[in-house]
Amino acid sequence: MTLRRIDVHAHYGHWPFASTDHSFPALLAMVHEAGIDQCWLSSAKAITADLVEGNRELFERIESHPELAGQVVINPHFVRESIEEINKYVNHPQFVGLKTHPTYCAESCDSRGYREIFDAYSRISDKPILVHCFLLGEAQALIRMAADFLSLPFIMAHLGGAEWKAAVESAADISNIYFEPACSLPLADKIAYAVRCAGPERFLFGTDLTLLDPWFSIGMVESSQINEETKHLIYSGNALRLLGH
Amino acid sequence: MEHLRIVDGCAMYGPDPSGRSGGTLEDLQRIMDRHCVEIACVHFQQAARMDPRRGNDEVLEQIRDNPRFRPVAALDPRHIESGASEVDRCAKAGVRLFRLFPELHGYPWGSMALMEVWETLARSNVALIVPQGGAGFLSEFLAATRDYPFAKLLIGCQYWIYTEYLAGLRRYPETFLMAVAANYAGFYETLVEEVGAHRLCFGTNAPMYYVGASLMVLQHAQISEQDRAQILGGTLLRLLGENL
Repeated sequence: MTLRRIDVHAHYGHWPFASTDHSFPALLAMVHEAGIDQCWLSSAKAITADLVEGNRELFERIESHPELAGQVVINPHFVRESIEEINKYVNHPQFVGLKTHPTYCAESCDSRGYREIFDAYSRISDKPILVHCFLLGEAQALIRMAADFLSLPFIMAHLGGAEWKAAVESAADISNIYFEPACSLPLADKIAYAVRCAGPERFLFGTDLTLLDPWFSIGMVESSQINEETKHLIYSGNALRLLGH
Repeated sequence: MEHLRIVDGCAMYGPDPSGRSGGTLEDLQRIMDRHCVEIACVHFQQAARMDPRRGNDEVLEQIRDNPRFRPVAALDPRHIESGASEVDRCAKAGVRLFRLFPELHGYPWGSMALMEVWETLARSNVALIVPQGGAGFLSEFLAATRDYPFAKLLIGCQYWIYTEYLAGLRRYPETFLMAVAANYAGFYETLVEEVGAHRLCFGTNAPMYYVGASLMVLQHAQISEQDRAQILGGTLLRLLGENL
């Protein structure tokens, strides 16, 4: 299977920020114009407000669009509901894993609630879990949790955030942690450094659309001092492997 | 799109203790070549971080015969010789762009030490580059300089302070937005409609940031080719007194 770009970090729905258009047609236009052949979406509503309603809206929306895939949003404060949500969608043909945002949930990624959800999930799926990480503490909590669930791939969003170098170095030895680059500060050695540190097979492509412009992440990859083979792995090869293709 | 002239309003060279940039002018030129950037406005890191006067002389000397660069003079109003008198001295040497570094030097926009700097910038008919700060930072700058009619090039802006920048651009006609690492969807489309391409210019923070991140967002923005050309080079060249 050859795909140009697989975006493992994208969203559907309204964010409480200044971007102009969060509509579904705008999302589709963004995906197509940026040459994204498969876009993994999570619901902004499920992250910021209503877990069940947000997940429902997302999977309903993407059904007639094979280029779109869904990540089920989970929340450690709602363990029972999160596990029910997983069970509801895990066999959906467009299901590609989970998404959680510990900052919005105000709970560390190594909490008891998360552990219960990941424990239940690990028994029925091995599709990746995208975890928002913007502070070193969040990255370290993810590293602790990932080490206990080696059968589950975890994606450290934003390359760990502001203290990305320390996050990448700390996660380098945990082989089930992957990285994606969506960010606001495109420091010029980020991608090549992470690839050197953890290996080219652990870097994925992510954009944070529709909040952020997907060409920003594409520009980072295109400006990176990495070879074409690594670029191919980042854009699509590694994500396909995670899905068993 | 290949024929559009690209002018980077925000670049630097020289040693940097954070390890994030560094490199020589030749290194910077290689990055420019790779991304088809024709001209870069540069400051010398040592001018910002150590000694503005000597650093500014250094950048003037180094780029003297190189048509790819325009100098940006660093100012530090904490020292008598690096504030208003440095504006005067560098303006006489042909410098059109100046930059303050409150994030490194630690002074508030309301500092009395800056008033002479504002006066001298206005009298010299030159432009000031203003770094991006947190919420409220820009509003304080614009309030402090509202009576001084010099061109203000605001580096920005992240999505969480976008409306503050938009309000500043609407209220003060002598302000311009230098888009560096502008990453949120609809950035250029909205700003072109709200304030016009003639108030927008392009910067990369090279070599600290990936040039492609800033550049590809602008190259793929849903705006006219005329507006894109204006943002990529026209606005800044006009401020530099040059033609597109």
